[in-house]
Amino acid sequence: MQDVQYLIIGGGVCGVTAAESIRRLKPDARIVVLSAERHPLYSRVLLPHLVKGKVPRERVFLRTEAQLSAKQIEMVYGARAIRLDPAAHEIETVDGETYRYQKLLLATGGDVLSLGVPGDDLAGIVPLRTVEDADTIIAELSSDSSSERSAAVVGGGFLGLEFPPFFEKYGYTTHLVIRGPRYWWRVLDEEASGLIEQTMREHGVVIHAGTELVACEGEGHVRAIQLSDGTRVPVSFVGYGVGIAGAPSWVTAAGIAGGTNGIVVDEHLRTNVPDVWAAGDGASFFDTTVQRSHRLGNWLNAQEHGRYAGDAMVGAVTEPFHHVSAYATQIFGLNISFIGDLTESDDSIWISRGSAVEKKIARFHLRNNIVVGAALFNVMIDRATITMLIKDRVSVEGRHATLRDPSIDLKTLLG
Amino acid sequence: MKYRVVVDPDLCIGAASCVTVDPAHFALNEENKAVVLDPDVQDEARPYERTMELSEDQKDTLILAAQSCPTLAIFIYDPEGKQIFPE
Repeated sequence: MQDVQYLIIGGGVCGVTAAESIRRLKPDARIVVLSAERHPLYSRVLLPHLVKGKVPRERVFLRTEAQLSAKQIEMVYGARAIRLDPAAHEIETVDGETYRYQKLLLATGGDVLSLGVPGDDLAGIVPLRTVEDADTIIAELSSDSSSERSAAVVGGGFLGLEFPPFFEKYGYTTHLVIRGPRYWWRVLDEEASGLIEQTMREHGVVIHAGTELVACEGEGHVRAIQLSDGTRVPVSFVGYGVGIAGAPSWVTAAGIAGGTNGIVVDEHLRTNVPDVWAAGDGASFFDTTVQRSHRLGNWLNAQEHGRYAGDAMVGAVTEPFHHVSAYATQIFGLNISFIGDLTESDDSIWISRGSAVEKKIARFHLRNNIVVGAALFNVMIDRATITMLIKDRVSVEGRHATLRDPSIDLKTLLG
Repeated sequence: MKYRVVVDPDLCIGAASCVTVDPAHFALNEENKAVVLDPDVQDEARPYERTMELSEDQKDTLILAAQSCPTLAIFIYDPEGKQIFPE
């Protein structure tokens, strides 16, 4: 039995940032981080750069063992929690170790969802979540002896966009499979989807839209994929990103509210159980910037959640968590940034600014005349202004023309 | 104490974690890259590098911002020119 003041489950950016926040405020407390991974914190954001050969492997690591032990943050690697007893304040790991905590943070992230079709366990079918996934992708793509190389990517999110540049680098023809009629069809209009698809096609990507993967074929290693529209595509590699799993079963078994959308927490990142917080990719939190609950899977959100949760566990913060997060990437020269909340609901209104011809588009998501999110393509100059519009819940009633017209400065909305 | 702060625009991907942690010293430019601000100098310049006076507290916040960068694109040098981040 180990007695720990601050116990953190998860060694990603959320968990480690929380541990470091606690340490700044509590120089002498015992802080233990249980990580299912085998390495100190690394940057998931840099994994695409690693696969493309733009950074050496050692550069993706953001902390060294020495830095963490200098802060007296006890990292336990390869530790998977399997049981939580909230009444006794105890966590048990798969190795049979028991930790008694005073305050607990569940920064569990999320395991990737598998493709869920026959043959999805064949070799050569790989997500991009961990540094080991990146290693596997590099090994697969660099050892392929096929004379005509083809690869598929399944899933229409940010991760779906990261694979085509890998495949181009290694000389593959890319087949992109998206379930909807066009890329990000729930969020974007035809113009903005068209900008992404046009960029992809300019790099030789074959887009299979409005169809689903029904099977992966091969003996031991993937050799083809079968689509619901009857198409069969010979491929020697499949990259995918179709979402991450919900709340771990050992968490919900302990009476903590949660489900397929993650562990449920309030605007203070507290679960329904005393002394237990949840944060990061695995938490569905009440977001005061948009006045609703949702789950965000991005680096900045995980880090800010971690910082807040650490302070909250120490009792150093009483204000609710209030932060507008964003995710940005660059694919084939196209700068893409998603800010705030882009999940459509019944009261959503969408406004577009700019055009695909100029390759500059901003797409605003409004509820009740308040901008709650935006998707930006090559218009990064407006990012700070839009973030302030969202954060301050500025009313744009009667001012939709300003949002729509690229010749009017968005700063005029801030008054 | 004067410190030199440098952003490598080739590494920066515009995640904006530095802007979140230390908005006094960082902003994003039109290319979605972080640039260095000096709160004591009210200029319009948006350079990738500045040498500026920092208090201990300011220096600590700046290091936190650099540490938060998911691509470690921010470099900090002490008055003797020694790199203090990344360590």
